[in-house]
Amino acid sequence: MPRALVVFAVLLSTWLLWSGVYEPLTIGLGVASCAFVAWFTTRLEPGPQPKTDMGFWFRLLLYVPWLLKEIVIANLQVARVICSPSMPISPQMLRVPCGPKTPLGQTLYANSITLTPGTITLDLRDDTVLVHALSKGSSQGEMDRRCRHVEGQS
Amino acid sequence: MIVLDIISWVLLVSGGLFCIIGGIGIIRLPDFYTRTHGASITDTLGAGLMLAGLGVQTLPHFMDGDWLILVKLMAIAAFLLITSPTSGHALVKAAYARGVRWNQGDVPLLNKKKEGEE
Repeated sequence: MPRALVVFAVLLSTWLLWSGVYEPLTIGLGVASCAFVAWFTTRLEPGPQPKTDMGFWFRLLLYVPWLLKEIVIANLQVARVICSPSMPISPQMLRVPCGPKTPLGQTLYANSITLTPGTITLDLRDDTVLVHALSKGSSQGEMDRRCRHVEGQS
Repeated sequence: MIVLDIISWVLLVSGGLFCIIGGIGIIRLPDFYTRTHGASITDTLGAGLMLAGLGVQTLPHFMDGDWLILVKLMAIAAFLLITSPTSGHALVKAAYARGVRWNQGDVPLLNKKKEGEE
C-alpha cells in the first residue's frame, strides 16, 4: 500500500505541475485519475528492479544521440525502398548473437533494433535475438558494441 | 518570426510526408512482418519531425519564459521512443508465436529444441 501512495503522490504532482489550470473540476479529475492509476498498480507485480548506477545513465545519455542518428539514416533508406517503383526488398529472418548479458542491456539492444526502421525484434532467447530485416546489409555489430558499453561491459 | 515559421513548416510538412510514406509502405509491402517496417517510419521520423516542428513554434514562448509546452513536447517524444518499439515488438511477437507465415514460407524457430518438441 505505501507504494501506491508514492505512485499517487508522484502522479498528482506531475499532473498539477503540467496542467497549469487550477480549477476544481480539473484538479478533481486529476485526483480521481491519479487515484485510479495508483489503485491499478497495486494489482500489478512490481517486477524485477534492475541495478543501475550513475555511470549507466550517463552512458545511456551519450547513446541516445547516436541511436537517433541511426534511426534517421535507416528511415531514409527504408523510405527510399518503399517509394521506388520496383521496391527492392529482400526480407529475411536473422539469428543475431546478443552481446549484452544483463536484462536491462538486452532490453536496450532489442528495443534499439525494433526502433530502427527496417529491422524488428521477434524474440530473444539463449542470448540470441531473432530479427526480421527488410533487406540485407543492416548490420547490428556497432549497435551491439555500443549497447554492451552502456551496460557496463568492457 | 518568419524564419522560425519557415523552419517549423518545413519540419511539419516533411514529417507529414514521412507519415504518408509509412502508410504507402503498409499498403505496398508484401506480408505482415515487412509491413511493420513501414509503420515504424510513421512512428519515428514522421512523428519526430512533426514534434520538432511544433517545438520550433513554441520557441518564442520559450524566450518569454514559458517552457512548459516545449517540455511537454519533449516528454511526448520520449514516451514515443519507449512505447513505439514496445507495441511493435508485441505485435510481431504475437504473430510469431501464432506462426504467421512470411512471404518466404515458415518463420524459423529461434532454438532447435522447440523444433524437436513440435
